[in-house]
Amino acid sequence: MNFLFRNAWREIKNNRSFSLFYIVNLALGLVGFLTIDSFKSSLDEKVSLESRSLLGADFAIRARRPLTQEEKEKVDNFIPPGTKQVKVIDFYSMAAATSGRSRLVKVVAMEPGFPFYGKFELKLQGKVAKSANELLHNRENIWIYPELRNQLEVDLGEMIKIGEAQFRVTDFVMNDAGLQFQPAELAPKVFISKNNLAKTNLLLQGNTAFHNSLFKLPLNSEEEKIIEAVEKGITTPDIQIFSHQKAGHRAGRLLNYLSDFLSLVSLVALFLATLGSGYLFHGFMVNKTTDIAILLSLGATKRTAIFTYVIQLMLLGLFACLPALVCVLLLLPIVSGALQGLMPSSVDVFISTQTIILAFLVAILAGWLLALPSLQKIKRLNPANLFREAARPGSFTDKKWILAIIPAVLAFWGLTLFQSNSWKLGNLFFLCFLVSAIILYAIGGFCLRGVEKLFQRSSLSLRMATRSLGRNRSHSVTGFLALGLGVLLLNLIPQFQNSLKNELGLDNPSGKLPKLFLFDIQEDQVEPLQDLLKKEGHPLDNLTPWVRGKLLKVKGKPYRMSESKEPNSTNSDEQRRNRFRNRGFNLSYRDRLLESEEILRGRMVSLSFDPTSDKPAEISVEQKYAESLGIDLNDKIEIEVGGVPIAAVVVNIRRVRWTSFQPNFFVQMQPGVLDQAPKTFIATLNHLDAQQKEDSQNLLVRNFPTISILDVERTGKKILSIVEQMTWALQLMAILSIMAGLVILYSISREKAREQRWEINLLKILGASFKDLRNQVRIEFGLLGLCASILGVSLSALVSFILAEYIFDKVWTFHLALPLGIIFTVVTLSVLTAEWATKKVLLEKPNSILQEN
Amino acid sequence: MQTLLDLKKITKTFHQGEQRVEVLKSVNLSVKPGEQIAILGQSGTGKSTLLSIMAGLDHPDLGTIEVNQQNLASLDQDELSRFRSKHIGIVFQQYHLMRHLTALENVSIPLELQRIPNSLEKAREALNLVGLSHRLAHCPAQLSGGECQRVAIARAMVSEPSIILADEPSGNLDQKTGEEIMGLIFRLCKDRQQTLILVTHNQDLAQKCDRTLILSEGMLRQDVQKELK
Repeated sequence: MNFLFRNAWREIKNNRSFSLFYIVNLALGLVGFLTIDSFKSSLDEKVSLESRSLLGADFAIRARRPLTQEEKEKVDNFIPPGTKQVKVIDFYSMAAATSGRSRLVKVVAMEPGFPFYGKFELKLQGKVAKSANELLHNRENIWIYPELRNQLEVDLGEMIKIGEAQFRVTDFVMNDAGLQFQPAELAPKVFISKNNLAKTNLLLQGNTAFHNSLFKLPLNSEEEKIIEAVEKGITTPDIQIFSHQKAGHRAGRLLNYLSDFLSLVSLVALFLATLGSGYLFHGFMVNKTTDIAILLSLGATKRTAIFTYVIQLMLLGLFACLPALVCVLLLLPIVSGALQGLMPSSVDVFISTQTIILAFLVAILAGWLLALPSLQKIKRLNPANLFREAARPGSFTDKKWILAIIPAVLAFWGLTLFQSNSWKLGNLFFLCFLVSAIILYAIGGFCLRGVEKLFQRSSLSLRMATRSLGRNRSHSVTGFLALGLGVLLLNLIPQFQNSLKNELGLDNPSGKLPKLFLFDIQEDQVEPLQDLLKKEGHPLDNLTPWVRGKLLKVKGKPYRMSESKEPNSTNSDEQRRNRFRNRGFNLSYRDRLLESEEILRGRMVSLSFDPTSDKPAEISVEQKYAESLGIDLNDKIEIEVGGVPIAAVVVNIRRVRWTSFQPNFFVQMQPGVLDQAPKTFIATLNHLDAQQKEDSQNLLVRNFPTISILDVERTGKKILSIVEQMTWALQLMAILSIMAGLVILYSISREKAREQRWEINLLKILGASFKDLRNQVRIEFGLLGLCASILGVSLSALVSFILAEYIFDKVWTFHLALPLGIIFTVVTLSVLTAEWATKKVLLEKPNSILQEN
Repeated sequence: MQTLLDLKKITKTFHQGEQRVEVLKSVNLSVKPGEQIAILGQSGTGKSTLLSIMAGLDHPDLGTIEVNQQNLASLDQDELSRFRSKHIGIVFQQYHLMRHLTALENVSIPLELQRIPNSLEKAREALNLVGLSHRLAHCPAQLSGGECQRVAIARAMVSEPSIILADEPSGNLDQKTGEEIMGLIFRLCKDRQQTLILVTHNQDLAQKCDRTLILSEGMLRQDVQKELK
């Protein structure tokens, strides 16, 4: 053992340049991976430690309606005596200031005693527990988010109108507590006492409001059992039960998804870095073959030789972790700061012991797995060749190298599944990655052959450069793959971001996006509202009924919200599926398709319905919702609207482009069925300039204070800012990939220059100048960077197109400026890197090599 | 006197495409402890193959080879490696030193492999014996051809193996240096009672050995002229 460590250490010490590059390369790959892993751990830690504060209770029951007496009694039966209960209602509404300004806010109306856990942090009063009575509940006071100060031009002591009631602003909420389910809110929050809610006159029939009952169990209660009993006892689909853990997971879900995805992207950088390290090690082993044969001839066993390098790789992996962890320490607060907006409260970031162990494991295992093809050559090494002058001990081709890379591929696959936390996403990512890599590898080889043929009659520099690319194909294609993958990543996300920007058309005043989105319009408000807006010259558009229903049966079986009994499932696929299933069941009806809709299968619903016939009503179902319910064409469901069961049959499956912000529903019923059902309306106002939009909104709030208005532009900007935060983080990972690619390129060009040292010096002897040789290097690596980045850009465009077409509602448009910039940058960096790597050999005096021989 | 190295009916065949080349045809050889034997032969006659079989680096197709009464065929790869490190020292024509290691480190390797304590001290002594006490910290690239071969000799002898296999040790050196090197090998082997098997083209060198054998057409013959002398 001693000898193994001593020899391994000697190898590190005596091959400093290799060791340094190996460490730098691996550290580069680890930085992104570990940063995201640390962020995920910090997020998990926050969610598990602060979940009670995030919910404000031990558990909560949340529904879009008040609980019935029967339901209340059921709950009371499950909870132990001494349990405290508090009620909170939250909903969206308009807030208007005396300045005349108005905007959509989320109103949180709470009873005294809320929250049981956590504290409000107010600007004036500091930390306040249980929203103390004297501060809020005894008067018509309101606490608001600080951003409303500017948005509504309102200050402390001034009045805000919510619905039909006036409230005095008494404080600004710097950090709120309780009911923090949403990762990002559509609108800033305002807090009032539930005692004053009735005065607003906002909770009318059909208005969307969430009724929350929060519970604090007595000490030493069997919390899990109680919550499970409540869950089992209340199976009504429109009631959700949140344990504090589940609420915590929900609050962090956007960040969780993002960090899952980021960690996948960081795996690309890690893959490229380990590929680079594997490549470096391969080169190192090629040079070491004779030494190993000598060692074997001196009496070392092959196991000894192999373990020397296994230990060397282990030590190098350990060393690579150190700079990586230092970089993570520096990077983590930056990443965390950039993503804070995606979580209701801030995450304190740290590097966990688990992350440190993971770092060491990944660094060591990645090194070992990538080294397998090189290490297995030792097994076939024949030291007897040392006696033969012409033969080199390791000069045999081993076709089994493909078998030797299988463990590395499997490990990468395992890591993608582990990091994505989703079987589906992990496999999809792995498959896309593998296919992209194979395409890049194959096309890379083809391109290099083509380039060589294309320039075979050109100038000497060009001819030599292209020949060198073609002749050292494995080197060239590895560099090609590394740069191509990095460029693919770098261009992919911005392409999608730009497509989304284009679709939202925020910079385009005549864009197709509606300007204001109106909801909670009562039936009796429709006519006066239309009249008012017509008079103003901005007629109401897309007026659509909104009917709340209850899904009773799907394909003849009673519908349960979630098939999983696991409330805190950490599997992303399951969470997504459950969330979709657990949505409130809203539906509408209309006699036409909007521009944002497309029937994928089936036919348009019939425009007339005969109530005397026993035929089921025809419905159109949005494709992803249909998938989540497991229904397709001709399947039957049963819905309850206003206490009346309605049998319905699916006649078409529809795709909806949700980014259009047009009033769309997952389920559309044929006209004639729901005409008499209780409903509210939603509508849009289009084609307004900024001033008209502001005026219209203020006019509507004055005349119809109970109607909620969503400023689509503001919402679009909010969505884009979230996307921008995500893009930033993703690009950071992509840049790490490019850097790993450049290190590979550096290693390749240095290795090539060393291999071709004799030829380079011969060319010098034959009259080639330093400038000629430098040009050759520039052309060679410039061409490599050019081909790789063009292909990377093309592939990223293709992938973003496929994603947009099949996952994100067809919002794809191609943007040329960024890819051009990326191509230029990558070519320049490739040339500079190669020049730097080969400079030493190019500047060498030719006679030095003659003297050596 | 008992036999140190015993080759019986060693046969080795190589395949070059469809062609079958029998390099060694039923070769027999017995070597006594302390004996110095030269094997002469033209290029491609199988001298190196014979040496690698003696060193346990290659296996014969047929026949047995015993070193110190140990049948090499009965040892697995690891046992063979351990056996070699203990009993056989090799000097190559191209020195085959590890490029990144110093002279001292190169020489200490066989001792370290055998986990012999004070390996550096013993390596230093071995280098002293070959006259390189002033070049301990030098890497092969910083040494002349003759110095490299001295390091290789020190390395072959440092663990005091019973057999030294030397493959054209002066083949890459000028005449004067070559003679010095060969003188050193002969002297050290004699002083330390080590058996020397020397593969060479050089008739004069062969004459200095106790026995000269000629490998020709896959067969090992006694040098009759020397016997007559």
